Amino acid sequence: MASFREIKRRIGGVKNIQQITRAMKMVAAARLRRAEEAILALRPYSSRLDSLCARFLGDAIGSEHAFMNERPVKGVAVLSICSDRGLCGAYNNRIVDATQGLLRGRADQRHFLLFVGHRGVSRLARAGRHMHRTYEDIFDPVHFTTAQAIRHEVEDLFLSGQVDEVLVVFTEFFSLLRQHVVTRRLLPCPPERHRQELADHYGRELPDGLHVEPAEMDRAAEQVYIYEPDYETIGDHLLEYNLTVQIYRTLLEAQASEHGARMMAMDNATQNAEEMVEELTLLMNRVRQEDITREILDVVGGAEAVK
Amino acid sequence: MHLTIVTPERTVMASENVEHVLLPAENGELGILPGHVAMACSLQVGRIRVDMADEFIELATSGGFAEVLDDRIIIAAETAEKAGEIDLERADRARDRAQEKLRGRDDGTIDHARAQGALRRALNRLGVATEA
Repeated sequence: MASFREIKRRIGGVKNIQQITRAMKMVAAARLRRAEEAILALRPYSSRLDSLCARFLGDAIGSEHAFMNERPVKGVAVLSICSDRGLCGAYNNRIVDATQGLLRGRADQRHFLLFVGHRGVSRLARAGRHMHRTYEDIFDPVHFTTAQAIRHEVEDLFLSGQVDEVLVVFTEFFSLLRQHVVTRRLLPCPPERHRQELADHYGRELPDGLHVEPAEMDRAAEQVYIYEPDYETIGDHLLEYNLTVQIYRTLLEAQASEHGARMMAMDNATQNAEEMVEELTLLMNRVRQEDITREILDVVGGAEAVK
Repeated sequence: MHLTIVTPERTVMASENVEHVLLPAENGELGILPGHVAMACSLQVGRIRVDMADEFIELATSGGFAEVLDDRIIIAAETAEKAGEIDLERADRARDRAQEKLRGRDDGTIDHARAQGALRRALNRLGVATEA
């Protein structure tokens, strides 16, 4: 059995680690709050863009636009969003596994992998997957320009015909306890989906009165707008912006999920450390008692011998 | 008039007492005065100028949309920065990078077009920041 001194040192070590995990939990909590604020900050913008999209894309632009071109899928681009840092539980593994599963299910198609986050990149590289593009160090904070760069990349792949479908795999953030890995299709985007997303969107509250009221939508619908420069140009731009905003939103969701996952992982680690300290303390006391008993026996035995 | 400018990263401004707005529309500047007809407009890289009763504000934008309805103007821009908010060093670097890329011949590729776009955005930012 370990000596009294050794156990005492181990307790010290566990307590040190506990201090670190507790600090990391606090940091993750602060970053999570900032990540959530970024999601909220996007809502006024995306709700405006969505209401414009609803008016313009709903019916009129139809299916002629290149982004809506449905065709047999011979090549697929997958955008997977992981984190740059570890110590966040199964967060990265889930994304990597989901990506691998997705690609295995599409073994007969050409693959173009776009990977965000150092952790996932290194794991998939070890698994021998070829990476078309990787993005690292883009979080805290996520910039809109990053989403634009990614959009340009997937847009090029899709419009040049190298891929016929663009998917994104990321962790959707509902709450600290509820985060799911989901797969969404970015391209092609049929017009019905714009309406669906819009409907989802209006179910949510906006923080600062920028919520689009149904009455306002009706008022807008009966107005005759003039378009500058013209209808088609606005429609094209709207589709492009909409795609960028979708990518931006997934990055923000993933960022919030990462900090949430890390917060939970560090919370568990702190609790485990607590339990370990308790167990070790019990053990330490028992060992000390045994030591004392042995010493008393020695003294008593010695005294007996002298008699 | 009521003016709201939102970008993906924040709500830049929301103001009630706006008298005149100049927008960088695709085909040149577009002025909005009270009583304007309903309009949807796509914006290019340029300056948004806002005249208020007691203040004049100029912002650099890299494009987006504007909607006018019942004296409410809503601008959903990619970026919108006031002179004081512009990161001069970053704009400088962006300009140099774009010029570097453009040094070669115009090969008609998408990269070339994007470098031109980047250059326009950088010069626009620098213009707004230094004139203020």
